[in-house]
Amino acid sequence: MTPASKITEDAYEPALMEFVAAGGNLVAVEGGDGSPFGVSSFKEAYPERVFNLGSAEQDMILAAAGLALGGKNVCVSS
Amino acid sequence: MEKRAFLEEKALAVRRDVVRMIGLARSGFPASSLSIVDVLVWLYWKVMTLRTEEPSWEGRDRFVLGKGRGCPALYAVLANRSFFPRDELWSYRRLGAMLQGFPEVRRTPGVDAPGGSPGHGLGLANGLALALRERTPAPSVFCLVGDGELQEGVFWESAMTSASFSPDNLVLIVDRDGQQMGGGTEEIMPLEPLADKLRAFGWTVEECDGHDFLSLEGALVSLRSSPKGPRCMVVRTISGKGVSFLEKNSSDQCGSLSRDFIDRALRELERGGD
Repeated sequence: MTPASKITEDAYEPALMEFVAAGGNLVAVEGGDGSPFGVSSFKEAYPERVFNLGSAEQDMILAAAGLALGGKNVCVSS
Repeated sequence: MEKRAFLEEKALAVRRDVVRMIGLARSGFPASSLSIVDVLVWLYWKVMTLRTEEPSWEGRDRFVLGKGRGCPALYAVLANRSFFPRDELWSYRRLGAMLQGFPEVRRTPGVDAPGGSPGHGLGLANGLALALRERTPAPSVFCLVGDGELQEGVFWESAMTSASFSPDNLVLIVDRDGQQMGGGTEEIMPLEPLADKLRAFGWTVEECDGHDFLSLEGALVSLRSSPKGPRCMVVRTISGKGVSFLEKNSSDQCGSLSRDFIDRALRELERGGD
């Protein structure tokens, strides 16, 4: 389990990796250039689970909402 | 199309219900609702794969109404397709009623997505289509937006997203009636050349008559035969279609709808739309 003492930026990607490795079903939507919440390793491991919308942060939220409407568990970061 | 007469009969019945329900509520957007009736009738009786007895069936095609204030048309179509009792139409917009001023997913059987915030429909439809496209067969997602919404910046973000992720199971339909609150789109913030703009964003676009079932069908067939990529139908419609004095008057009436107004509209529709 990722320790609670880590700051959010450092804990985010490991938490996603742990969750999916343990059988959890999740997709990540990311955006915002130079985001400290980058999920490049997660994307390498699970490319079909990551949607990067670049600087289109308004649309990032809409896409996440749409994915959730379609039954996905969604984490959004910017 | 052997179903054409059937669809036209359904469209007339839906128009009557739209005018009646807005009249009873004394609130709503009749012109915006009437322009999209034929597209909705075509989608819900001819195109979409659905189970009316099982509105939440996972294999169903989905519909996203970006043009949320046109929801009386959606509600009337859903009621006439027996997703819920038709009596629900007569309590439209009442506090606590099933049918509210903008579509809500948990409240209304047959509604697949919330709608009403202008410009947001395509973004939502993109995410929905991406979530569903892994399934076999992949349900289709149809998203209907009003042309006035295309003045919203976020729509164009979504248009780029569509081209980038290219969900094959998505069809965007733009209700090109040339009207928005306050006047004509081309007077307020011109959209033309609209099809060219969408093509420049990577879309395959077909234009057609939004009140002609054969034209609608032809456009969809053309789109589906095109190479992969986001597909859009720009459907030319008339705001207020079906009620002559609404068609002539370009401003969308809402709020204070007089009894006389409603009676005149219903009399026209009772005559079969002459």
